[in-house]
Parts: sequence; C-alpha cells; structure tokens
Amino acid sequence: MNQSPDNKPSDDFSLVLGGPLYQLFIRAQLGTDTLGLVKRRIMVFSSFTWLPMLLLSVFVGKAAGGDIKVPFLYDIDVHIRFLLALPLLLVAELVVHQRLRPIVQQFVSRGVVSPEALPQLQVIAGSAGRLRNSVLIEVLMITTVFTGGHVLWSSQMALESATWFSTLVDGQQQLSPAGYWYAYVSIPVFQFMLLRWYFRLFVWARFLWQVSCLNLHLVPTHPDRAGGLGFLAGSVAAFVPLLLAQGVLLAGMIANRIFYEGATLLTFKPEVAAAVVFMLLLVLGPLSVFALQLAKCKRQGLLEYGALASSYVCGFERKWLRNAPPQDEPLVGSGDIQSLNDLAGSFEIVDGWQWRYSIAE
Amino acid sequence: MVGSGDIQSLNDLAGSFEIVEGMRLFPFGKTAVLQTAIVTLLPVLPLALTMISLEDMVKQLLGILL
Repeated sequence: MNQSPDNKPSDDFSLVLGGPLYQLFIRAQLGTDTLGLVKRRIMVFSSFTWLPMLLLSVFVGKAAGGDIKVPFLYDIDVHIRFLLALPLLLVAELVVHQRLRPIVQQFVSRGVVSPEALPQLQVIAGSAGRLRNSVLIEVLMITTVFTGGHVLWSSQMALESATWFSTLVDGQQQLSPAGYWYAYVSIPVFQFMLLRWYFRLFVWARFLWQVSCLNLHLVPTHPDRAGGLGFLAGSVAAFVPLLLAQGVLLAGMIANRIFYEGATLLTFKPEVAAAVVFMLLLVLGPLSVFALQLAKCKRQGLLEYGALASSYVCGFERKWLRNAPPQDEPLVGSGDIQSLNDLAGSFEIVDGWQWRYSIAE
Repeated sequence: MVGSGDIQSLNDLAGSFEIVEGMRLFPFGKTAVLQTAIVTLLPVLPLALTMISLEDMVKQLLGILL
C-alpha cells in the first residue's frame, strides 16, 4: 500500500487489490490494477475448472449416461460450484473493492478518527495492506487445499454413489480421468479462492479491531443510534456476492443429496442453520469489535446528557415557576418556549412523574 | 442556558436523551442481520419445490394473500 504523505490512509484502502494471485492476474492480462476484466477472469476460471471435466467425461462416456448413478451433466453441485459460485467469488472482489473503500473513508470524513489519530490509522491501513499482500499466506493456503482440503472433500463432500468422477472398485474409490481433474485441479482452485476470501475477511476484522482500539470520537446522540458508526452496516451490501456464493454452494450440495441419495430438504435444517450463523459471524462479526467503545460511549452519554437535562429543567423551573416570571419577557413568544408542542412535551414529562409518584404512594 | 438557541426546549432535550438511551451496542441493526440471513438462504429456497409442487405453493400463497 503505497501512499503519498498527503493522502488520507483510507483513500488507498482495499481488501482485494494485492497478493500474488492479483499480481498474476495483471501480468496475465486477466485483470487491471482496479480489478477490471472480471468477465475475462470468469471465462478463464470456468474454462480451466469446469470445461476439462466435461471434455474428459464425454471422452469416457460418463457425461450424460453410462453405467453410473450420476453422470457429469446431472451433477448439480459441480455446475453450481464452478459456473455460479466461483464466478460470484470473482465478482465479489470487484464489488468489495468498490464499496468498502468509501465506507472506510467515512472514518475520516465523519471525524470518527480525529486528525491527530490519522498517523495511527495510516499505520493500521498499511499493516492490513502488507498482510493482504503476503506471499507466505497464499503459499500456506495452497498447501492447505492440497492436504486438509483434499481430505475434507474426499471424506465429506463427495457423493457415495457411483458417479462420473468416482466408482467403487473392490471397496476402493477409483477416480476417473475427469475425477482426477476434479479432485486435484478444480476443487483445489475453488477451495483456494474460498480460503482467500476467508483470509481477506480476517484482514478486514483485524483492521476494524485495530481501528476500534484508537481513541474514536463517538457521539451518543448521533441519529444513526450507533454513535456515528452506523455507516459500517453498509459493508453487508458489499459482501452480498460472497454470501450468495456460499448460499448457492450449500444449495448445490443439498440438491445432490436430495436428487441422488433420497434425502429431504428438512434433514438439512442443522446444516442450513449453521451456514446462516457462520455467514452472520463472517460478515457482521468484524463489525462487533466496536461494541466495547459503543457501550462506553452510551454509558458516558447517559451520564452527561442526564446531567445536562437536570441542569436545564432546574433552570426552567426556577425561571418560570419558583421565581416571579421576568417582566420584560412575556411567556407568549418566549425563546424558552418556542412552540406549544415543546411545552406539551414538558408537561407530559412532568405528568409522567406525577403518575409514577401516585403509583408509588 | 435557559432560552439558549442550542437547546430550544425541554422536549428536544428529552428526545436527545431518548436517542442516547436507544443507542445500539453494535454498528448494525436488525435489518443487516435479516439481510445477511436472507441472502444466504435465498439460493436454498428453490429446493423447497422438492417438497411441495410449485402449483400447491402458489395456491397456498394465494390463499394467504387473498
């Protein structure tokens, strides 16, 4: 994250513009420095992951029929995963890049981060950029998808019936040529892209946590009812393509179980509930780091505004009720009582007290 | 402070106090929670057709709405 000294740190903030794969996209002319050419990336990724499986399945006669329960063209999960979820993960990069930056800029433009704390915000944004660009992390992710990811997929995700990618021979699972591409190329590519997103959400959560540790200027009477941080809720819209990608992935997995293993939708209630909770934690969890600051702001606000209200009502009562009303200031048209509605409001408050006292007595 | 342009009435002050009392502890509300849950669940919704036919679903919906 290169910044000139005059730039606000939040101006260059991006969760997605960086990392070895991003650099590879640019060098291979699959993307621009602002993540343009998204259609080209979608075409290349779908061609690289889905098309070889179709061609290899056609070659061995397992595309639309054969002596198997699930031919390639009938495997809902695989089409949804590589023709819908994977493109959504790529679209999500562009949407998050475009929508998250203005949200981060609000920290400065709304004065939540004071000019004095700008150097600290610059350090935090720079640290997020360096973590996002980490080569080591992406290498670790690739290692993970070829080890843990592969074990997870073969133990849980794959159908147990004879399919276009795998058949049981003498109790052993035997992959077809298309199955080898599926297990060792397409699935790792997909898992890497997904894992990369989870890592970016971690970078986002870490950035917000570090911002929450700054001395923020929160206003308890802000009409957004969140001390002036209400703009952060807008980040949910930025993550909609990512949420949809997870949703379609879940739907594809369930559809395969329903159509080829005789399950019903209701048997997946725990999985669906877990997916919703997981996504809520992923998208809204990072925003929750401000809870402590907001609670402190609310406590302080209740004390300060309570004291201000007491001071005001005492002055009001002293001026108009206890002492002789000022001769040079008639009640009608007084600056103290600018509208009948305000006065009615005052009486309602007093009326409320009287009612409470009569109940107490 | 009485008659101040900043605090024009007791009613306004009561309103300010209510805003502080109603302040959330999270920078998002129920709408954001619902939005996240609905978007995640939306792709699973068509699978309901495996349990109930589209015709029956439309009939039941019309029965509720009309």
